[in-house]
Amino acid sequence: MTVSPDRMLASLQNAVAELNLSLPPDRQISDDPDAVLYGEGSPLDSLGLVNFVMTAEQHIGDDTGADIVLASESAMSRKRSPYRSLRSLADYATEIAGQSSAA
Amino acid sequence: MAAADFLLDRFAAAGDKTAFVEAEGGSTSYATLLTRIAALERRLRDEAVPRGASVQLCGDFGAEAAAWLLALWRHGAIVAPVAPSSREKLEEFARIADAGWRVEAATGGLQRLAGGSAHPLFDRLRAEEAPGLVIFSSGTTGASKAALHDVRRLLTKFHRPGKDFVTLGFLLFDHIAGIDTLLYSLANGSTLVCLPDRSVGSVLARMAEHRVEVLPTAPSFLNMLLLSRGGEDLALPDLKIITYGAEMMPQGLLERVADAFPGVQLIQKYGASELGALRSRSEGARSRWIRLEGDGAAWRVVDGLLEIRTATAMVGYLNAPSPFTEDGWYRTGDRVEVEGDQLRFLGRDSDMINVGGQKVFPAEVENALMQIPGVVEASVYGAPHPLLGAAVCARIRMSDPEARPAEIRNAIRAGLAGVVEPYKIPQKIELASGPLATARFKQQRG
Repeated sequence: MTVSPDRMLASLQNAVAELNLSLPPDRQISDDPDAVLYGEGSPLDSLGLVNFVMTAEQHIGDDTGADIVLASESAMSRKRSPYRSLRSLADYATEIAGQSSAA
Repeated sequence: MAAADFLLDRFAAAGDKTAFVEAEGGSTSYATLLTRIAALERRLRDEAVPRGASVQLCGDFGAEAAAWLLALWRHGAIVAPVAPSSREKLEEFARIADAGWRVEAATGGLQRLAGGSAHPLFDRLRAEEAPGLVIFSSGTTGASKAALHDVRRLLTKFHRPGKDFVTLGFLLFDHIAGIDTLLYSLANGSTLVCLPDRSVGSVLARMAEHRVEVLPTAPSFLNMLLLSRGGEDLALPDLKIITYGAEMMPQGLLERVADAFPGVQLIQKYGASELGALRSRSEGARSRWIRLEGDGAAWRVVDGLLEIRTATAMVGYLNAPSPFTEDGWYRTGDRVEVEGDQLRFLGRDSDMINVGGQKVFPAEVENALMQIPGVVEASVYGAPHPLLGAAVCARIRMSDPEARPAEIRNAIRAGLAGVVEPYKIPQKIELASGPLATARFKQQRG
């Protein structure tokens, strides 16, 4: 299945919008594709990142039909973390969705 | 001779040395800590808190909470610490411990509660004028279990002097491992660096600024720490030892930690609310094999499950049947493999979900979910997750089959906020259209 990075990004932004409904004003996640998602200056703690990743997987599944796993040992051992921004995560999601359809 | 007297002697010897770098900034010396303990002891007498009372102590690492803890113990009290992360359970914990008093360390508040400090196990401690410590853990049915410790036993291992390291107060003030860190640091006249919060940013900033030498933590925090830095140099030249426990350490993560911290000793710890923290030795930085040793602790493996007998074990649960065998062995429920005198942990023999070192039992979350309007059925199970070891997942059936998934997920999150601790709120919420076959989901949990 081919899903464009822009569609992936839109799904991730939907996940941000959903989670922001239950987050206090000072802990809101930015939907700016290039803001820090997880790392220095990010409002997300570790539980927040797990919540985000799992909600994002559900939105990607609902929006594009792609059944992908955004957290894996291989994602974490990358030199540059896929979780640093929404854009880098969208690129990563696009890449693994392409791989799973090719397999 | 009171149980904690030797600690006060050591504080006097440490004098002007820093005992705590406080979470909100500034620091407190051992000399000042001694003064605070004496002042709080007077206050307990002035306010007529009976010796041996059950007292809830709300606070976090820092001189004030530590001074209260020691003043209360010197007053013979049975102390039930409550860290900020357990605030949701404040009233439940007070009820179980039949607490007669509540201390708010941050504000200095000392409040009378409805409890009568009554329990047959309390009487046993009071008969010997022994102070107590109550540690709560999640129970399988949803009610918290309260483990009562005899403080004299807990303190025994600290009589022997240990090493003096600047240590980070990362673990929780109301967990056995956190109390162990606090007591070890105090017993050796060392400096404990406290945190304003447990985010990666705060941890790294505090460690660098105060030249922290020991980081006691859990595997998933190390995972998040490596992840947030994305391969950048961590620049912690003073760090000598990382200890980790409370959950399984995946081999891949251990390798990445060893690569990121060359020259740092990595030590796996083992403890339980019911046992106290045991001494342990790891075979090497990259090895998950450990030796449990010292202080009269012995272990055996029955049907692949670890059992431990130790002199530091709790007196008993306040509100649950004894988990010990007739001959005094504690059934840990941890599945292990053995090679010679070493152990390796394989996982749990229960439906407990371990989220970054915090225990979650499905029944408690299911019960809370069923209280949310519109929820007809709920089934909670754990799924392996590389970020925090495991994730809490829920399958829900709603009375309105047309409800929108995102709205339901938000209603569920809102409905659980403040009812259960944040780590127990399901990270994955799926909607089922038909009835949940209970037997099938029980199998899925296995």
